[in-house]
Amino acid sequence: MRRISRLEQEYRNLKRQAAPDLWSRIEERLEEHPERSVIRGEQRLEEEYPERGLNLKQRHRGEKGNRKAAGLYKGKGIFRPRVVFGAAASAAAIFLFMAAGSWYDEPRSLVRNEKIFGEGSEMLGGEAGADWETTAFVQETYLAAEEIDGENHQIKGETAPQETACPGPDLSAYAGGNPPASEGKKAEGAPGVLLYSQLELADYQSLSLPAQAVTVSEDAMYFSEEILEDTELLCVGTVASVSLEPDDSGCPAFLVYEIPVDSVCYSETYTTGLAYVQVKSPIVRAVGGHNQILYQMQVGASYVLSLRSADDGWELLFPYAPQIQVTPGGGYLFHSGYGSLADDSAFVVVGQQEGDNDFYYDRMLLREDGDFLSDLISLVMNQSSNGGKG
Amino acid sequence: MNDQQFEGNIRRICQNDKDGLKNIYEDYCPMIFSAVFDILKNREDAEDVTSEFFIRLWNIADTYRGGRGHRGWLITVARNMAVDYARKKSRELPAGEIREDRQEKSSAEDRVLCKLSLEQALMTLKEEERQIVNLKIMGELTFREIARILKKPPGTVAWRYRTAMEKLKEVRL
Repeated sequence: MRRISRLEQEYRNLKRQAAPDLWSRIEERLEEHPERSVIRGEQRLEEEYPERGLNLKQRHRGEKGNRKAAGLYKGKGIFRPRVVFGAAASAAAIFLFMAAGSWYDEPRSLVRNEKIFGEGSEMLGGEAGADWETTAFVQETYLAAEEIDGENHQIKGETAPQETACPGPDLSAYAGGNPPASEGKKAEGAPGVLLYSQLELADYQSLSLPAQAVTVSEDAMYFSEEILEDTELLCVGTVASVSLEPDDSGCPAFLVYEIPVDSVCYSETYTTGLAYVQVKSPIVRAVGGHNQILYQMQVGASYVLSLRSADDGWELLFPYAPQIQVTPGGGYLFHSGYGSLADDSAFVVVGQQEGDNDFYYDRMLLREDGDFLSDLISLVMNQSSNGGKG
Repeated sequence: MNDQQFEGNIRRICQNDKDGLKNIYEDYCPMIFSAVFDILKNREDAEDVTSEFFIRLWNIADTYRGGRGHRGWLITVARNMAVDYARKKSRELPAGEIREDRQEKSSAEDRVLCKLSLEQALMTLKEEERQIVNLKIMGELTFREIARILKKPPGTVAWRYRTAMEKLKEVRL
């Protein structure tokens, strides 16, 4: 395998050397496009509306939305900034008015959340993204109990502040994920919400890390379903063992899992007779938790794995989040980044935060229906065939 | 260059900033040139099409839709241009002349390439294998992206790639 890598490198060098220098030839034939006057247009805006604090440098830092904004500013009458600003303010006021009315009509309870959760698709137009937003809303509302700050009732999170005015049920008993065992499938007073302990999963335990271990940040990459485009192998397997592997400098830098494959769901290449995979993953260090590694797969547990090929085996497609776990009850525990899989049958699952930087402990969902795997396979195939544009 | 950086450069182009194009050119000229050369088999023609490609990129940057996989997009545009160029040329010149021209240039290439063993080894590959190897290594595309470009099943592409790499390895042993 290393020889192939060297070959590839040699090939690249060869092709780079063979490439001609054409820049001067190209440059002299480039023509100005006067219609591309975004900068000039924005400068004009800055002069016209200095009070808006339009910052040209910020605007051109590379945000996608900025380009759209520039396009709007460039546009015709109705999209002039003052009109846009006014329209946005009106829309926000209407939204707040409706939200307030809704809160007034119904006390803040998780029953309401369930209602929204159940009808979310219709309410939000049935788009996948809307489902995700609904799910996130449910989670954040439920988890508000853990984050209520004493008398002020200040709730962290982006959507929570609007909701703090209304009293909520006392959910503090659920903080930490240890409900009374007698509660059954659904936590009392919190329909659609489950706790990890109700799923009969083994306690999370990670390997201990030597001080010199090379780790990656949990936020090195943001999950989006488009990432699934790069899935080369989607399979179900049970972790037989996990160990640390050093990098070239001898410091532990990878987790290596030995995983017998139970079934192959999707594969881009050769799969017949695939009985076993060795999967590598960078180490995500937990900050301030009892365990030292985040999102480590557990020995004996089964997972649905999105993998891509690496030099000497396979690697996790997205190691910065929990993998999809198959529960002993036959359900699928997945994080809310899989927005299009979060249908109205999904339960919100709340667990123990494994570190200050564990941002998924309250963003897990459970589906127990038989369609989950086929939905996931469809998602992966759609992403692949649409080049990640789903 | 990742997708974000590429989009940043496209935005610069959309502001008439030539440096945006130059950044893309510096990173991708070898990739585009080799993809085009694979089709045209003629250095002079490949240089023309590569130049035209970057000029066209400058002109059509507004139409680029962001997302992942900009390399695949670049290569697709470049290959289409090369194919158009070859078609146009085949209409202008008698077929025999084109073949002769290609053969001649190919021989000239051979003489240069034979100096390097990897280039010798590449000559042992079939046309399609060479294209797949080039798209995979220079384009850094996934098998699925290559499959879309070449209109072949992904499994076939992966298989051909592995076969080609094995051949190269064997030839060079």
